[in-house]
Amino acid sequence: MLKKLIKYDFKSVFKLWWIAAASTVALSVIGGLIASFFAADEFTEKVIPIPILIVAVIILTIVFIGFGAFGIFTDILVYVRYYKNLFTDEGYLTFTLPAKRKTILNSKILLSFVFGSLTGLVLTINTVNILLISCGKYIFTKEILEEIKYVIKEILAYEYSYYFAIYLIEFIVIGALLLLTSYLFTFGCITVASVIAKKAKILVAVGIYYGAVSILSSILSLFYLFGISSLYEVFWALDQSDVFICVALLLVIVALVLCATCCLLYYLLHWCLHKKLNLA
Amino acid sequence: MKKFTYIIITALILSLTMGIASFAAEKPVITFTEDFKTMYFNDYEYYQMDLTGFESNVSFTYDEYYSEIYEYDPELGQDVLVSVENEYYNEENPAFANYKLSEAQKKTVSTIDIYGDEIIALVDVHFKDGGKYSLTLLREDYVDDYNSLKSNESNQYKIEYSWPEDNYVNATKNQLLTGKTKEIDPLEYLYDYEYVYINSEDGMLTYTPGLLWILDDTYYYVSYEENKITNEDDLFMMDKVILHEITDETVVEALKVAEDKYYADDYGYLYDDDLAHEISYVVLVTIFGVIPGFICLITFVFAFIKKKTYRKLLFATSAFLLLEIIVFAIFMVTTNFK
Repeated sequence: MLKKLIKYDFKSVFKLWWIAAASTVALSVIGGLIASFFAADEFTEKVIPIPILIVAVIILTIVFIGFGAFGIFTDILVYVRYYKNLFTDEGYLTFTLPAKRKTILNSKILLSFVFGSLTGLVLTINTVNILLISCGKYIFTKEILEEIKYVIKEILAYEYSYYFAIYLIEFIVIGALLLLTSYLFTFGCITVASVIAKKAKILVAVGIYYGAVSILSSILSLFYLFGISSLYEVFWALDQSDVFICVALLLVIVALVLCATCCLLYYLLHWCLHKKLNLA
Repeated sequence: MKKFTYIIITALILSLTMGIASFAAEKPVITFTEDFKTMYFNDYEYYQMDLTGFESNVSFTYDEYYSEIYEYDPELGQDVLVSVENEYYNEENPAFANYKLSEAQKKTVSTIDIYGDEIIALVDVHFKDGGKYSLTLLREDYVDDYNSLKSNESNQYKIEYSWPEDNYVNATKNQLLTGKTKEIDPLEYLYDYEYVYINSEDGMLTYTPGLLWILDDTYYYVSYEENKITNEDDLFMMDKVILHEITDETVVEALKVAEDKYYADDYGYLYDDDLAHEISYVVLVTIFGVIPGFICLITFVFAFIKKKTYRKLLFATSAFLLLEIIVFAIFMVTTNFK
């Protein structure tokens, strides 16, 4: 049943998402062509007239706003799908399907994670696109490629280079967990709002979201204030070899905290859907 | 609503007019004598001077982009400075961007870069044939200060430890230059030095005749003049510098006191090093140990009370948190016992 649910969820989101994704790719090509004016100004002796540069800045700003809007659009699509499919009239049908509530929830979480990752991938491709179109011919010269090779060699020859591979893996895992946490958190807000409010559920969900984010950001800023300076104190006295392992351990700690947070949020979601939701 | 629209339109027109007016306002023009050795700006004359070691205390009116590039030296076991990159953007200082050349100068000169502030101006004249002429100029009303700072040999030099304020040692030039000399490569002993300086009476002009170098618990003096150093950055590009051992007991004693005071004060932290470490460990243990431990305990207890589905989830949560506490314990052992 999970497969079928994912298929329908995926279809429902994809039919609008791909248009937005294709539009941003097109935008990235335009952005690349426009950015080539700056590249020509930076890398060659050519002097580009200021009016052209001003227009280029405006167009590039629109391109980057488009990229940001694409990220928000994906989130909105996923949240709307979650809300409509579970808490509106459609919810009556969804919950009469021969599927456990857990399966329905898993389908939505998987959907959000896949589209979040895909959006990240498209945005990365777009950025690379802009860089390649605008200054590819200046960057990928023989000398610079040799220089890059040399830097990579130097890094690989470095005593603690294997730690960089460990950090890369840790960052990818933490990134994925952060994505999952943020979707679970927003789903949690929508679910709690739908459980407690009878009218204006979306408004309540937005209120809960902002309330929770303000509280969390206050806690995080406290951590930033004391925790970061404390870590600085601890790291200051370390030998170079210990710094590498301690950073790796610290990232593992962050990943584990995020895992626990995901479990707790999932628990909250499941409990609300299972015990508290009354669509009647 | 109509009134509101009028107010908005008036504000827009006003801001636009002010913007155009400020753009069109006449900027002060810089001119030079034919040999560039005198500059005229804002009703002041600026004269060419050897400004080695001189610095003005006017807050910068231009943006300075400055970066140091270090490379790790395995033999020394530390990073060493290999180059200093300085970029000034004189277009950030509109006052200095507006110069006028005479007809004769226009024939040979392509552009002029003027950096600096209201007291000291650094001028680079770029010629059409590719040549460059750099000169440093001082505002006319500071020439007396300049002369008195440079010529007064008996002047009290201040050797400054930057913290706490007023933590400096007075010494005369003779007291610093009498001891035996020694040559070193400055890059090998990069960090342990302090500034030696004199301020003009109004405090706007500072003259740095050299540096105090601390090497193997002995104090040395590096004279800019003797080593032909034009500024601090030059120092680290030099292969060798001449150090004079400071033997004057009064100065040495005063330096020891100032140094002790500097390090004892812990760079101005509100608490000392040990207390800082203790507070840090308490904070970290609370964030990564106590709070997760508490949640771990609660979820573990709830896991026994709840039904099957929730049980798995709650066990998973407590397991993750337990694992986190274990990793944090390893982290603390690695950091604390080293």
